Amino acid sequence: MKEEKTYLSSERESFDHLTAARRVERTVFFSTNKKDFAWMRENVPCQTACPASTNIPGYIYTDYQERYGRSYEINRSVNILPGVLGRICSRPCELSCRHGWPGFGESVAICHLKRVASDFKPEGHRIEESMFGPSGKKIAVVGSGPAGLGAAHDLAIFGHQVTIYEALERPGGMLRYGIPEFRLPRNILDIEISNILRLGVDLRAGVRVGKDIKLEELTKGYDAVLLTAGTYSPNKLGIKGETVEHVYSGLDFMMDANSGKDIFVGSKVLVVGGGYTAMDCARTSLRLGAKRVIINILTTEDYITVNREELNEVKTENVEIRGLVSIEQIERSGSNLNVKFRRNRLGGYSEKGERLAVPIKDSDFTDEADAVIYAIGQRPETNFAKGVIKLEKNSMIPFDRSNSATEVKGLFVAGDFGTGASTVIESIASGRSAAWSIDRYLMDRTRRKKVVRFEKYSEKQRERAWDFIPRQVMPTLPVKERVDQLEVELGLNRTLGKEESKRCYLCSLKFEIDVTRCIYCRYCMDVCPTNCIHTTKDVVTEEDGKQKLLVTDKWNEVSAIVIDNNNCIRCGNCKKVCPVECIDVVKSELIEQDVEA
Amino acid sequence: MLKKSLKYVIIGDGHAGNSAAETLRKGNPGSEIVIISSKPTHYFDHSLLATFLLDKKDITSLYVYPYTWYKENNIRLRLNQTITKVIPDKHELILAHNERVYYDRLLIASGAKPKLPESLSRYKNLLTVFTDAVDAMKLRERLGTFKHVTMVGGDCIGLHLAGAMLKLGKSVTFVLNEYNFWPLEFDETVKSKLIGCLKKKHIEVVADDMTTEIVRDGTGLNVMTKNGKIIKTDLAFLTSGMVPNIDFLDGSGIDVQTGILVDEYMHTSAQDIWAAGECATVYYPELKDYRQTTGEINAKALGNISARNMLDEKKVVSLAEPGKITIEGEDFITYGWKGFSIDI
Repeated sequence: MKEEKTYLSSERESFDHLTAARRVERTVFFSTNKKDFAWMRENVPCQTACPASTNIPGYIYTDYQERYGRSYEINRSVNILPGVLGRICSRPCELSCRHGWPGFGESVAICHLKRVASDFKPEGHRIEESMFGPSGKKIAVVGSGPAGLGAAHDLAIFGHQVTIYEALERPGGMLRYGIPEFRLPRNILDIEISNILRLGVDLRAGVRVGKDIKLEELTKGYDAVLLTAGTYSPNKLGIKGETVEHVYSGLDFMMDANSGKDIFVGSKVLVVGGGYTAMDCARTSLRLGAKRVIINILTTEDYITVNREELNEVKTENVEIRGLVSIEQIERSGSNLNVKFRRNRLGGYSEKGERLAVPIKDSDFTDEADAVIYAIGQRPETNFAKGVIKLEKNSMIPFDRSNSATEVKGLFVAGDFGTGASTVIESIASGRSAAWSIDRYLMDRTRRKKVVRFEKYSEKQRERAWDFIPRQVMPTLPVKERVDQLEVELGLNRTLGKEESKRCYLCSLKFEIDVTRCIYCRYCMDVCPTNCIHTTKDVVTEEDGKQKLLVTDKWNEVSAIVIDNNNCIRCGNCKKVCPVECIDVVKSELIEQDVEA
Repeated sequence: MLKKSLKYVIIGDGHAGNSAAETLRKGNPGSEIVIISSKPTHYFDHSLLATFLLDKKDITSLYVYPYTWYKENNIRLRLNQTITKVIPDKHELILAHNERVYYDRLLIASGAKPKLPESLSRYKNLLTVFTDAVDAMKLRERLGTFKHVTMVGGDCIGLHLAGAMLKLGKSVTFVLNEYNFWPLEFDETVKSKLIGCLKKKHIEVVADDMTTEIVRDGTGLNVMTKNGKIIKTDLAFLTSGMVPNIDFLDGSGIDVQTGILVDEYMHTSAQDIWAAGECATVYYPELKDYRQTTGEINAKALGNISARNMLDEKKVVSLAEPGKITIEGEDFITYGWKGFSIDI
């Protein structure tokens, strides 16, 4: 760990109450020690779960301070599209949030607080970008979805000249053509895309690689090419009747609906599939005039990828969910579709950890519908790359997942195009990661790195009473007003946002007892609500940097009193009662930094 | 008759749990049987719940069996004991006060709680529930404080409650939403017949509509509907059916789909655990479908079938005969309830 500099924070209001001497005491360290990365992984579960490693406690605390612009920039520095993600992120962070652990209540509404930052940043807010000098290198990015946008952003920051080739009329990929506007207003998407294009990125929309321009031309004309063309080939049901009229793939259905085309849905719609696209298809069908919509899933609601809040909205709009069924056949009968299903029971788990459905013998039944929409996943359309690279048997492009490189020099792959359908946040992270690899390839050195930043605090930053604040409910549009494409979620207002931000435990705060000052009075142990303070005989560091406490009850063995930060909810009770002020608070943040820094 | 001495634990003191306990006692006289319930009151007759509001009878008048019945049958009844966790691998239950209870065979018959439609979840605190003896006692105490009630949704208990309210001189409004009117077989014929019967009883019926918002208005409430109607009322009863009461199974690994998933033998996905009654989602081979049943008839039948399977018989579940409710002399078929009538 190296000491960097004394930190003076004259511009930060929150430090105003500190004396000058106390301000000078604030010292910042940066570390690349694996022990510190391991501490971050274990102790800040939200950031660990976020594919983009968003500094979640950091932006939530700045929301609490009502520094919304700063909060927005903490987000944007790694996830690029905070306004978009604050609405439609799949929220793996919330599943990991310490506040949601058994006995601690509900997870913090992390995603909604991202939107709070986006909604309340000041008008004319300054976008922070710190650009490298021009490199003279040219890079083509194929596709302008989240992976392409994430990559284009970072490549532009690295000083490269980026050109995005987008097959469709407008940029955004699935964000624009897959997600309905009532979940993601297009003005938000447009602003955040323009923030990327303003970095000097050239967008060539309506140009389909493989048709309007060959991939070979790009590989010859550019120093590097990144393929982030998404997944535009819907998986098929592989059953009889799949191609009859008014049977749609979810992808085609959403793309047509988002392009404003007329689509027949009739009165009753059966949707097949349990992902976000299936939910979007169901809710869009209602807006197109369907009276009854049933989503049919193979297993049960517990095993679908959609988060609880989204499922709640789906049900609020009176969409029905029918679990444990498999579609078998579709037949047209006059103006109706007769759809044959079979019942399932839950089976074991697949190698990928997915819950399996096992058909029940003699359990078939038929349901009628006017339209059927199947949304059972999608795959990349890789034909245009055939002449340049040899495809795998499953038509995927082979590439090294550690650096996004293919066997063709200068050709890289990222996002859903490489891995198959994933989430928006995974795609952005994948695109940015590929950008760093491309930069290393072009510049022959690493110019950005991840570090752990430590900053000592004299205050505990939060109150124990805040642990009992309930999760704030997202205000939504009344059901009867949910017509056309009006946004359903209205966003937390400033008051609700502030209340919600208080709920965050700020897990990036590390509470440590200085044993040289500790008098072993055990007051801290008495007031700790989670019994996370232990008498120990040793702390063992494992190979991966993870630390293990060797707890003992025997006083003759005790060498230290240690706070187990993994079970600590950062309430600060211990610090409050310590008679000798031997408990230190250190803010630890995983951040990105220039290698030269 | 099973000769092994086993410890049977039954979670829930309702129709299913008690029916199973009786069957188990007969089928295995030497066994240990324990019923654990989170409720302070014990097994009562749902069909008497609304009439309880009309007289000054003691709460014990609702009970199906006196406490002595459990002693006579060597069944240990543990009331007011909340189960927080089920650990199938260890055959253990953990209670709220941290006690661990071992079982050889477990029946989950934890029943159901009022269904709060997603669209009304934010108005939870403004809705009144009426599902058990404690709710009935609380409501009886405040009968003099309101004049008009609104039934949000509709179910058998709601109909019965409406009957009691009429008898007490209260005016009643029903917001009738076909998806919430449960467990009646609810087609257009039944609907128009039902509306006619309710209107004859001078009940205001808001049909083909659904409650979307509830707001406070002075000491009362305004219940607002999708079609723009505003109903001024004193109390809004949540009568939208029931959902399984199975929160304590989180983390147990037992498969659920709204209710606990059981096969045609009432067995769950966990070894030595069965489920019955309103908390179970049962696969009925004759229907080729899963069904979550409600009401006394079904619960008793399912409790009995489960117990027989817990006694190592191999009994396949079958649908019970439907019951009926009567309104103004007209019969309505229900799937499970019996003895309910609005003509109190």
